Amino acid sequence: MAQSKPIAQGIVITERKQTERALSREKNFSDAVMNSLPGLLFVFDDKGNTMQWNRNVEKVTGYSATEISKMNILHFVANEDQKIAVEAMQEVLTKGQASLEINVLSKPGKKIPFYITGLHTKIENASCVVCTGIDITERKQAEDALRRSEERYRTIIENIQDGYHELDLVGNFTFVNDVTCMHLGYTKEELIGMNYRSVQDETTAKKAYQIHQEVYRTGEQIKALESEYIRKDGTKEIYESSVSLIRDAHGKPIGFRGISRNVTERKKAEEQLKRYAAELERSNEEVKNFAYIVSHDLRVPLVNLKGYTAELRSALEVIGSNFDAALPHLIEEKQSAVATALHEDVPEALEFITSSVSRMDSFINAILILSRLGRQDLKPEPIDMNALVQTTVETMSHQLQERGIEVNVGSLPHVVADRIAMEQIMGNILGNAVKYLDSSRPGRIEVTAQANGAETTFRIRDNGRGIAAEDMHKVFTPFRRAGKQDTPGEGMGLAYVQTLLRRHGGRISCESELGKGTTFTFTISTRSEKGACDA
Amino acid sequence: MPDIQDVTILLAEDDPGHTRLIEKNLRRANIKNEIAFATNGQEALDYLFCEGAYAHNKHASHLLVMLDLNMPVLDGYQVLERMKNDERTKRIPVVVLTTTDDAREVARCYELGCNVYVTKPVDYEQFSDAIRKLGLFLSVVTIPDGVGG
Repeated sequence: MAQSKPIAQGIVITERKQTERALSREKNFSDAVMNSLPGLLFVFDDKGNTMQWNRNVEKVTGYSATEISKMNILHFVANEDQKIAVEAMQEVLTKGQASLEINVLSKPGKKIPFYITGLHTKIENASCVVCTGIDITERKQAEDALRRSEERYRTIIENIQDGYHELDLVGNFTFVNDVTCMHLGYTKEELIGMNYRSVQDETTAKKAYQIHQEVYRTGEQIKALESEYIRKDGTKEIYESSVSLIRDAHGKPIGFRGISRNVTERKKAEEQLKRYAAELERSNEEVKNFAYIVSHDLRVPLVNLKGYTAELRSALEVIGSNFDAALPHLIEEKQSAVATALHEDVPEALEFITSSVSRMDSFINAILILSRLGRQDLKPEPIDMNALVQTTVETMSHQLQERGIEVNVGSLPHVVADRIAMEQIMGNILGNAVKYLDSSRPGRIEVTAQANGAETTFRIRDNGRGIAAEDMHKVFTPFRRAGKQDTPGEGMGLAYVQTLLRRHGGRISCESELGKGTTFTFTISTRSEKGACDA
Repeated sequence: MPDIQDVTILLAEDDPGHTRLIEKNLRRANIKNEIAFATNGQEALDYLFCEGAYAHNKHASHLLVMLDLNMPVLDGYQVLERMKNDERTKRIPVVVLTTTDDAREVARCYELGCNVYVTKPVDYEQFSDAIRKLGLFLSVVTIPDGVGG
């Protein structure tokens, strides 16, 4: 403080030296006090002219002592704070003291927030103000951070699609966001102070009470809690909520906060899905039973048709054996008509009835087999497809040799499937390939496979007669056969294959070009997965 | 052991055509036993236990039941189950006659205690053959003593 203005004048000469010493001590002491203050210290007159200051003022403002000595206190105040600074000054002069927060303006133009207190005092009978300032930059920053953080959370709470609410310990709403209001159909004003029991029925409220008790006891959040709320208009909606504990600064529980999401639509969709699944299962079951009942019950009249046709035939034999004896008793022109009826018409009719019944019986049997394939228990086991295909090919070896057919089998992987089903699938597809080869060229059949993760795709390609595009839809349809009908069969083989593959969670498709050949592609699950065989 | 001729055959079958065919073929196979007819499962049980329409009947001394599975009111399984769970009827031999040879159906019948399972073939020759074999079976089967209570 070497440069500070003198604060006392007119010293008694006689005691000059002593007094000078004492003054010097006093000055040193007051300088030390002023400079040790953590903040700013100013002394200025009632016009605002600076009289004395501590070293911090120079440090903070960047002005030199000379500059400061010529400045008015208001020069240190940022423009926007000039008005409150003048007012505060007035207050100090009239009321004795005042305090305010202002931005101090430094020489390079930097604004620094300070908390200033001013005290009106008299020095040497002159009215002056002693004023101290504390740097509140950090406090301001903390306040700002807090404000931003609060704003952030408020924005989140006000803008999320979920309802947010807070309850006190007895369950009264203390805070709700707009979504909660929308959920429940009440205004914010209505909800605050209302108990959660008013928006739930007794059973739900009881459950909610227990949940809140548990959260209170353990201090742990409970999530994915489903409960039904009653809206103001009486309608009910289902919400999925989480509940957690609100504690005060000392960790004492003071309430609960909850986040709720309306899951009514999702629940409805889930229920709907469940209903669909059940319906599907039921209709699936019905179809299976239908096929079974139809095939079962249809055989009842067939037994009669066939049985009584045979009865007729044996009755006819009885008549026939006595016919020759009876013949001469008929008038001549009736003889040949009766003979024709007896020996030709009736046996022919019986023959048609019998063969039709047999065909119908074989159809019904085919349906029965199809329905059994759809119902029988599958036993999935690991199967070496190389060995299985090898065995299938061997059973056809006679035919293959005779017709000069070449079968190439690539490296096939293991699959997990029902063995009998896989034998039937391969047997049918390979059997068809052999059956429908083109006799004008040597038959070539190729079996390959490719494993793609959880699935294995098999390809059976032949150079046979192929299937016309317009016949493709018949390929997997029961009783439908495509192309030239020159080989025996019921047209059920691929229908069986498709059913068996579906039971294994697999699928089959067919590509073909008339006159070139056909490729069957089927996919089967590689891993044994529960349910894969019940699909 | 009772004489096979003393055995009454109860034929429980709802289709009259089948009933007649079975009867005819049994006769052709030289089965001369008395045949009683029931057109549904309830009637069969009434006959067996002398209840309902048969309340005043005397219990047949020796019985053999030929049972169709698909019958109205009570089906063949239900009849079989009641018979095998009743002291009075559990020893009566039962021949199941039905139109399908579904493995589960066959297994279920044997589980319930049927003695023979015969599929009604559509083919007439097979049918008569089956009935004839049944006739042969009937002539060697041991019918237990003292049916009824």
